[in-house]
Amino acid sequence: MRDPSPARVVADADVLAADLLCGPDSDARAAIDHIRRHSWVTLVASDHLLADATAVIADLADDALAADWRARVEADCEVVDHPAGDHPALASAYRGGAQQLLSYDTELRSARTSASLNRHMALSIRPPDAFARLFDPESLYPVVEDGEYPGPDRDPRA
Amino acid sequence: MTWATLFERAADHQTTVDAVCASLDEHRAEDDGDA
Repeated sequence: MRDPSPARVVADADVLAADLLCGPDSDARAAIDHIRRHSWVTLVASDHLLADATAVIADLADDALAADWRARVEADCEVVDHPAGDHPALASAYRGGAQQLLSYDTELRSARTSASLNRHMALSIRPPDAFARLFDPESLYPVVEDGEYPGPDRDPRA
Repeated sequence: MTWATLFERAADHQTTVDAVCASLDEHRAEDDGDA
């Protein structure tokens, strides 16, 4: 299990699929672009979570796009393991030391879920529009790296 | 393959967040049923 860090982020399968399928102006694209732009921000996911997103993409688009998406996203993220019955996003965050979780699932973001989770881990669960709006790399960088924020260091379309 | 290429290909299949969430709910419900 990894040490928790605010620069480690899980995007639930709905957000990952929406990043690909909901167009360039979507909240999911804006949120995940923050992660893609910064090499020191780590996207964390389990095989189960990636399999869920792949199934959604295959369902709404086609198998070839889903397979190519999975190959590309696996190169960008740190893959963690968890038991099959666990919730893929929550377990990925727990096992992968992620302190931020992006999800459209209102139940996951409910006060009751947060209170229950925060007894075990410090996890901020937000919809992608809030993450896209509130992500502040200049404030976060000195918390996880040495020195001043150097600006985006990756091409988010590479 | 680059993200730019993937996004270009995905443009032909553009959909809504509601459709994505419904598909995921369905998929996870099937998984729960199989367990």
